[in-house]
Amino acid sequence: MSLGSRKRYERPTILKQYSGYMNKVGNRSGLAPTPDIDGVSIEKMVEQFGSPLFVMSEQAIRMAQRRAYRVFKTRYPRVQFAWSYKTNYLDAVCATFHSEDSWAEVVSGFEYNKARGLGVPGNRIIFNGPDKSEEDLKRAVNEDAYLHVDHFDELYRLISITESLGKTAKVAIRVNMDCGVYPLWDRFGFNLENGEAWQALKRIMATPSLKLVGLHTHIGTYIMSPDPYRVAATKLSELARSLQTEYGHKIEYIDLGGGFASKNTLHGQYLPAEGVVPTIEEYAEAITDALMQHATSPSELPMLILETGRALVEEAGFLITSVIANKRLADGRKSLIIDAGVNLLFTSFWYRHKITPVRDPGMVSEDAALYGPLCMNIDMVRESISLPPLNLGDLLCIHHVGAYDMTQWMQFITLRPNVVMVMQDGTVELIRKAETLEYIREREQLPRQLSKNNVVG
Amino acid sequence: MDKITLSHDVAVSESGFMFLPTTGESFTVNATGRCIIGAIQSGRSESETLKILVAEFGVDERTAERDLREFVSQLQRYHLAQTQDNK
Ligand SMILES: Cc1ncc(COP(=O)(O)O)c(C=O)c1O
Repeated sequence: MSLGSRKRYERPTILKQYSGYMNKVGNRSGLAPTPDIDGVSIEKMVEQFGSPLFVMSEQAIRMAQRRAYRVFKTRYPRVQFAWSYKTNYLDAVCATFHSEDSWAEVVSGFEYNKARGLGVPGNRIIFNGPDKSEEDLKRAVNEDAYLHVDHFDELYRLISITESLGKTAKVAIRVNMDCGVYPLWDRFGFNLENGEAWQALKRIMATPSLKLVGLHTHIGTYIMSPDPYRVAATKLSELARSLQTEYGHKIEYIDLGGGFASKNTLHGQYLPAEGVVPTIEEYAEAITDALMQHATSPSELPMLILETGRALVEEAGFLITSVIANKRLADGRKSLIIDAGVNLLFTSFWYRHKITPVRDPGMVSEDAALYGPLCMNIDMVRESISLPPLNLGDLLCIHHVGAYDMTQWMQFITLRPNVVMVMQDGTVELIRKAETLEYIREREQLPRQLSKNNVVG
Repeated sequence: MDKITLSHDVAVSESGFMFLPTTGESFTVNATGRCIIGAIQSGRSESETLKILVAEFGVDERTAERDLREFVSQLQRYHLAQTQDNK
């Protein structure tokens, strides 16, 4: 018998049917396989680059960015996106966003230097965050970056720096306010309602070495309604108007940060995120409508800056993982151990990711718990997910992992794997090499007293 | 190896549907599972069943053995099979 005529081996499975429940047999919609990413075979990529494997899609990034830009640009004359580095700061990912005309939004000296290393000029970098060192601030001032001041200590430090450098800095303040999102993110920036924001603005207006160019807020992340954005845009527009009235000063931009919800479903959500969370059009409508209502003429409108993170990159990332073991738990429930755990999938703490087999599954599926390879109880990728019978080595594709997973991942008991990007021309490029033991040890130093000769034997 | 016997009323249709008139329970069995049940019902031993799986599906014997073990324990869990220790 030739191999080709053999039936494909699927682990033998028997499932009890419960009347009154949805019969899983034949219900394959949730199990449609994912054999490729942008036409490139996942099995082939794993053959070449190993498992687990992160895969980014260049095309998906570009499409998401272009779509978002179009949606805002058709509603508002001046729109600028700034790529939120913390969401995914792999060089290849940032470079893709920059080539789509995005600026860089950074929150640390490390991120700032990374952006500069990619050739982003200072005047296209927005420097946010509460922790900018003296050195960071000096570099940013010298390079004409946009400094978003987070607190008074930073403001005073910046005043000293600009005065001693004899330079003018372009500044905005980060404002926090009540827009109906709770808990309030009031630890970042200056509060609007208690007058702190106005105090900060007054101090800036009184400082010749600081040029007030914008107002910034970031109201939170995965905001499930457009309304808070309407409120935020309104309140910042009013603040801008007060500056105009009090000082005759016109700001250049209003930066509304990030925070749009994505298509990943939260653990607590009953229905899939798609259909529950607002579309980008709805956010855009709320924001641009509020901004326009406050302008007397179109030429008066400040530029709108957006630091959208997860909603732009999440769907461009995939994590390919293989089955290490099949197990029955003590109560008879099925469980699978896979080679990617919460070390690589930090977002599984809040998302129920879409997970699909890579090969065409059979007609049967069974609920299984999905565990990662770490020796820790918290390493659960999913408490229960319906999956076909899988053999050792079979691949699963975890979808929508392009945001935060590749920045918040942990090097814990094992090494971080290869990351590749499927390019628009159909080629696959390695964009971050898998870590090696040498890479980790290169950072370590063994005190002489503990050297091999003294410890062993 | 253990000798496996199935409950007398176990009967699987072509499509993998299995109904137990005595208890009113129904089950779904995939193709590999049907192959195993068929082999056991026709009196094959566990090692013969393994050989059939290897020939039919081209799976390696280790994997087949491991999966057969779990499948039989699922049958037992549902009270569809008994095994006798054949030392
Ligand atoms: C200042 C700032 N901008 C942008 C973002 C990106 O947010 P998101 O990924 O929710 O769009 C964040 C995330 O925390 C942030 O802190």
